[in-house]
Amino acid sequence: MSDYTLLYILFAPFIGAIALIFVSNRQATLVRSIAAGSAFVCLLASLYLFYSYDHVKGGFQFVQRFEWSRQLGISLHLGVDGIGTPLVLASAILLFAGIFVSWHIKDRAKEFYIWLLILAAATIGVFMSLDLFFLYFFYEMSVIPMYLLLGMWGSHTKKYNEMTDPEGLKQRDSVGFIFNFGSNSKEYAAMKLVLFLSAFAVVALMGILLIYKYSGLNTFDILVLREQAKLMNIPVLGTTLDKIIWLLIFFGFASIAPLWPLHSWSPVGHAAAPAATSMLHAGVLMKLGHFSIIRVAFEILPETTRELMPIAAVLCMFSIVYGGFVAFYAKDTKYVIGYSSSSHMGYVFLGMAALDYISLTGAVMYMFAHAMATGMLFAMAGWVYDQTHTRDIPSLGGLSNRMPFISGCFVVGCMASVGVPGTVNFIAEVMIIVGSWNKYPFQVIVAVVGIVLTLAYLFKMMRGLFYGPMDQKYSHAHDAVAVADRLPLLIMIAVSVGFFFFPMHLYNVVRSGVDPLIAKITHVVPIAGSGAGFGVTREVPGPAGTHDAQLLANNPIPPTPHASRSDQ
Amino acid sequence: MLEELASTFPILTCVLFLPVIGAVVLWLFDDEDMVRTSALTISLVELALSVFVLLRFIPESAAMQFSEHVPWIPALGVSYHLAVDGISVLFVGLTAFLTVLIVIYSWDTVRHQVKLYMMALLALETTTMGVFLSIDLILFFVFWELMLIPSYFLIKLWGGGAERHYAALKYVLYTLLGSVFMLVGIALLDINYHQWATLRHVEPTYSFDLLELLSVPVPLSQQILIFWLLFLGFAFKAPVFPFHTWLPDALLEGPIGMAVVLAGLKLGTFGFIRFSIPLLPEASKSETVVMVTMTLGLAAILYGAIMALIQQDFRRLLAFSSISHLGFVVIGLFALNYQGLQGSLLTMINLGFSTAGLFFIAGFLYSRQQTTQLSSFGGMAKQTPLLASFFLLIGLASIGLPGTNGFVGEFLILLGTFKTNWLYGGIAVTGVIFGAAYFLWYYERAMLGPIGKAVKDSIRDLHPREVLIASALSVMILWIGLYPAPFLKMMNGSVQALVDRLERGTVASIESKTQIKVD
Repeated sequence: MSDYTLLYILFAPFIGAIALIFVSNRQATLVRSIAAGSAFVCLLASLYLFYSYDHVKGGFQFVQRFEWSRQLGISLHLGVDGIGTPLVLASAILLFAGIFVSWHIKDRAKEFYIWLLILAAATIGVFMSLDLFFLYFFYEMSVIPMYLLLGMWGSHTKKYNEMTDPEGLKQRDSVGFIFNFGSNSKEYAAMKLVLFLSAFAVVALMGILLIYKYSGLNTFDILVLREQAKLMNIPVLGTTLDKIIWLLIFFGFASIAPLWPLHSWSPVGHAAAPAATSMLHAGVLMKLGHFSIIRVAFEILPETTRELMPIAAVLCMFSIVYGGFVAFYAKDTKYVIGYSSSSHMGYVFLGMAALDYISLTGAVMYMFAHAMATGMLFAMAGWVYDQTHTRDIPSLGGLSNRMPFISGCFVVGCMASVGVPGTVNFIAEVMIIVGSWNKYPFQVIVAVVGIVLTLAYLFKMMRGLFYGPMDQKYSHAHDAVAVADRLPLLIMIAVSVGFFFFPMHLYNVVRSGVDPLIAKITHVVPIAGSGAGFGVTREVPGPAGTHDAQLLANNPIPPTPHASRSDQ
Repeated sequence: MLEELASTFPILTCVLFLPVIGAVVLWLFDDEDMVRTSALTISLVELALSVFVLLRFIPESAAMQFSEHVPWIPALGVSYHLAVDGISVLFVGLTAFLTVLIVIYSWDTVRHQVKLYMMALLALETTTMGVFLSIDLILFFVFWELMLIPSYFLIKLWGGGAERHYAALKYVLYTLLGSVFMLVGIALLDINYHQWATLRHVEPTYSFDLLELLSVPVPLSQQILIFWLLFLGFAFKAPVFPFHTWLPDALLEGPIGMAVVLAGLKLGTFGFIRFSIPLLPEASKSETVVMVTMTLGLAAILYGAIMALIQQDFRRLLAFSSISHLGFVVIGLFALNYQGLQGSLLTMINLGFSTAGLFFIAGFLYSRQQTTQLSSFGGMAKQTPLLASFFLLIGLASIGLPGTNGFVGEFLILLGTFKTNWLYGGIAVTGVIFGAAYFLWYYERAMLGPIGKAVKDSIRDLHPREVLIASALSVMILWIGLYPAPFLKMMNGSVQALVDRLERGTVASIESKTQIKVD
């Protein structure tokens, strides 16, 4: 297949970033148009990708392969399946929207756009990597720019833990700065985020290197490894190797997801980050975690996944409830949205843990839907912050008079985040709930409680920001009037609502990626003695049940005759 | 005709002696500008010659190329034998490249005794080239020792610190101490060769030639002894933890140019991969050696990184970070597999761009603030955006951001280490995290945030010469980071040969020896 779509999507932002290096910061318009232009190319190409992805054929499409080192078995192997495609689209949409959200950045706008473009491109790179080396390459590349985006253009968090040293300046020169919990300067947030994520990236790297070592195939190619790697039943440290690798991969990547208890970097980071960065970060960067778990652990270690995935089912409850309660009591707008994101990521883990066709499809769709919802919320929180220079909810209020458009969009954003019918989040949520019910009824109940909590804290925040009496010092606050300011919100709302009314293509695409995966995981012959009767006796819907597992692994089945059974 | 000329032309001798001849020529000039211009010309010609060698080098080959072999002291088996293979060829280019940059950097930062400085620098280039080019162990040792003379004077006479005399002496004494052991090791190798050669009636009966030494078996007990003797020599020079204490002093007190050479050209670890590992494969593989070197390497990674974390002076930070990086190189080497060796080799080259590049950055900072103490910086990105950008790029390369050269080398080393022993690999990866911590933290305090009190309004951004240096380094950093294939290709053949040698050991030769006995 000589279709270069993936290359356009991946390299458009990189080329934009390189072009920006040679532009002076004084030419503000040129800087913005280069950034917007490259993001637009990326968006167009990913729309084309999304709509021309052949869901009947399924499997990895638009595959590109460039040899990088033959001796080491590394190649730049790109390709998307039904799971990667919507996430690439979501990244492109959020990048495009993010450029417009940060339209008014004055301080070193050029450098900001450069790093934002690199961040987005690296994220997209993960979603299309079929080579473990490049998956890690792009993953690591998406972590380090966050440091600069937060450290240079971020904002300090105030009124959190009542700091006496809000800028964190006293701490800056002591080593304690790095590990000092409770500080709230943006530098601290940036450092915490980068150290936390690179530490866990390294954990995942250990898993990847162990796969490389023990598979003995001398390749990092995921497609080869998933067919040929024999990692089962190698005893190591009193357990088997595959379990160790799986745990390394799972927790390594789950930290960015973020799964409780590995979430603590995330709200601090979100709060300090500039709006566009938060959008990309909560919108797509967090999904790198789930995606990489699916791509690496699910593909290469399906049997172990079936055995160990209940871990996620347990931890996701804590994510949902803990995140929800903290969000309810948080007073900083971005903390609320940040914790709500980490709470909502628990649903995705629930959908993944159930290992069911419907629930995993729902989980992937939820990733896409959540990207839009949280993107909107962060964009609007950023707008409010730019206008009022505070994120402190109690001191705000009554802004709906000053910014009717924003407050209107905020209602939609809240609805999307809660998962009210009318947004694609609803479909995804229902699918997760329905799909997981058989296996994890208790978790589903927790998830429903989580939805109620979401409703509570988001509406509480909405009331705190937009209704009630307004402090006169905010009377100068403006609404988003210019097209450039409204455009990003309108795009995200349109996507969110549009896919509610026309979900089938999204569903089909995702389903075509999920089907072979679940078939492989739930149909492989169970390991003798352990986990017997688990996932084997369960009736599996769809045509997958009639196929042989090996056959499925080699030829992803054409889905989905039972589309009519989807829950809408 | 031209081809023939090119194949017989003693290009390595030219590469080796051009700088020192140039240094003599410099003696004739009096005008300082003339001296600078000629020094630049000489180093540029040298760079051109090295690039020529690199271009004509046949990649994917394990052979010694451009070989020049002239007997020197036949009675002792000492010969003038120069050659390059996949292991050394890139260092030749790197040395020439860095020397050009140092000359450019020293253009206006060295103000007194310019002539002498340039002469010392060029002499240093010759001796360094000699170390990389020598195939004969005595020749190698000669250059190894000669290198100390220009180094000593560079640190002593042009160093910026008050303790420079002490630092210069410490550097020389430490290296000398190590090389005494090394000389004994070399002598033992020769004696072993002699015994074997007399037994088989092979001529010459004495040899210090690497290629001939490779062809004789060395008993394991002998190998271990020789290994540790050579190890001391190389470890002091490298420096491998815990032999590192001279390094922070020399780097802090010496001039930037010297620091670039010391931190950028990894002679000590080059010695390991050039001599120790191929000559003594069984010893290198033996359990004790692997355990000790791995432990020292891991200790260096962690110790260097933690020390770097708490430094207030940028050059001291760099000294400890290069100790930490050297730890990576050492564990990669003693992973003793293809990926580890290749990663170490590439990392040695990388450090020539990233760590040396950071020393140039330190030099830029020094020429603005007359110190590299943290307290004299702060928020400089606002006033010196170019400096801050290059600082960031080169720094990110040193912590191994994907897309820069550091990532490739580090990844290969970790890969190799994991293949050998995943416990060692697991400890080594923590170094990656610390690396990110110390650099980003220092950068944040020095470049970002509010403008520091000591930062004057009149502070200037990089001038064109400095931009030239920084961009040259950046190009190399991104080139290796994004497309390392040409560099890896040059190493492949020799690294593969080394791996084969490690697998077979000297046993093959021992077998043939017993055969002779039976006959």
